[in-house]
Amino acid sequence: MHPRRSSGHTLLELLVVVIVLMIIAGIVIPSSTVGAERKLDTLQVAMQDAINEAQTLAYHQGAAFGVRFDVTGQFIAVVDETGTPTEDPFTHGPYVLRLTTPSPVMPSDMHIDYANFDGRPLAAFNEKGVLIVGGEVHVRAGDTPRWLVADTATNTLMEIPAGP
Amino acid sequence: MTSAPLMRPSRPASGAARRLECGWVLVATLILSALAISVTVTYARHALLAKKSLEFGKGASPVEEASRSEMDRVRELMRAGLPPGTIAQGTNDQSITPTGEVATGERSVNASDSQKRDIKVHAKGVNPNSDDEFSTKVKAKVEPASGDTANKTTIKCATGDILLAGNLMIISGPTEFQGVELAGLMLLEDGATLKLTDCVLRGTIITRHGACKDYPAATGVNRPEVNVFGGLRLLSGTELPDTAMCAPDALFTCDNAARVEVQGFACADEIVVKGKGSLKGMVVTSDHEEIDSTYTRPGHGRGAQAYPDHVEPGGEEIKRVAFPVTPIPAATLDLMCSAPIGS
Repeated sequence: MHPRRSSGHTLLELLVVVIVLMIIAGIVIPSSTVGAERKLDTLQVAMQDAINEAQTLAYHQGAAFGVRFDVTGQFIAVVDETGTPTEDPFTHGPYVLRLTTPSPVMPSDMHIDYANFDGRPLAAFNEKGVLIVGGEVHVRAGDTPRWLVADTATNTLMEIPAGP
Repeated sequence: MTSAPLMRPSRPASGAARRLECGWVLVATLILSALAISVTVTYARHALLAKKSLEFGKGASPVEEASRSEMDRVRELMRAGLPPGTIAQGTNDQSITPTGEVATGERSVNASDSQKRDIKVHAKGVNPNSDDEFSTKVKAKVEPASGDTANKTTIKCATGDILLAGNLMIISGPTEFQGVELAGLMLLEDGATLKLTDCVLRGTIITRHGACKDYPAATGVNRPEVNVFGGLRLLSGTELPDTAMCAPDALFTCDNAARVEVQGFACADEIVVKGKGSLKGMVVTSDHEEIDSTYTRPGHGRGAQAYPDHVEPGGEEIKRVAFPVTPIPAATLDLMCSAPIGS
């Protein structure tokens, strides 16, 4: 006599499937939002590094330098008075961080939406290493925005609450 | 004669026993499933709350900062000679977290002795899950200890008399502080020598020439001096915001072993800083500037001006010190932000 075999799924199989789905959801859902914040942190650090580099160059070379936040081309560049990118002290190539090209210092899916320093997308330092005017930069990782302001007193990018 | 078998033959399990085994398997499965679900839900909740807590911490840190400033007020009261009555408590400190939540600080200040205050801040949000505690313990030995010292002076100036008031210490001749925390304005008279060893100054070092451009600058041996040994934290205070030193005719020096942190504009005739430290603000000198390369200078700049662009005198106080910012021609700025950059 042969045992009966059912053609449907057992309760145990269903439970295993549900548990696996819940574990995956538990990992994916929180990490997607936390991950965006981490990406924005990384971008903010990279932008701050660029600002520090521009200021150091301006101070030591006694000439104007700036950080250009290009919304159209989606890149950040440390430039001299002629608009030419300076040398990146680490890569020894042009100091241009392209948001469209992910790298260890530039996570994927990053965007610059807005940059305004008194009408220009440029944080400019005069020959004494002083940020001549403060400004605002809006960046985004996926759908997660972050608004940053550059303060002339400290030359530091600070996060402000994003608007509606 | 046949021998009996050594082992008893196994009896096939009955249908009732098989049903019993199936029941135990089902119960065990249900228990394990419940455990797995609870672990999953707990992990997911924890991950979400950890992010929430991080954001809350970001918002609550201004509350802590506000409470620190409250601590400064407590010190000021102590300086004015109010003994343990300087304990201040309340829920005045508030800030908005990045998620729009209001964090409120419940502040309590404990006085363990007449020269020490501990401040504890408990920040609490609207959301019951957002709850955190920040503690700030400060041991403050306050100089001057009571209000019996001069606390105001008037500097005659062609543009209008300037009254330096509040926590004012007038330094004339050689003066030395060691291991104390000072606050307020320190007015260096001509010829004064201030020696600071392991001190914290929350305020501004100022000279008469610094307060009033018309007052003649001290020169030669009459030049006021600040000599630092050990550690010094010179942090701009509330009397003259963003200004750590407004002494365009003074000499500021420290030795090789010094650890110096300056926060705010620092204007002097000559600055020689060695050892290690950080200068967080514009440094302006007229004579000589020698800053060791080990110094970090976040937010620094430099100015060649011998004198601040303007010192704005208010009704009873100097409101702020500012330095001119050399502009960059508009054409240069346009070129800097529009020159083509290849891919």
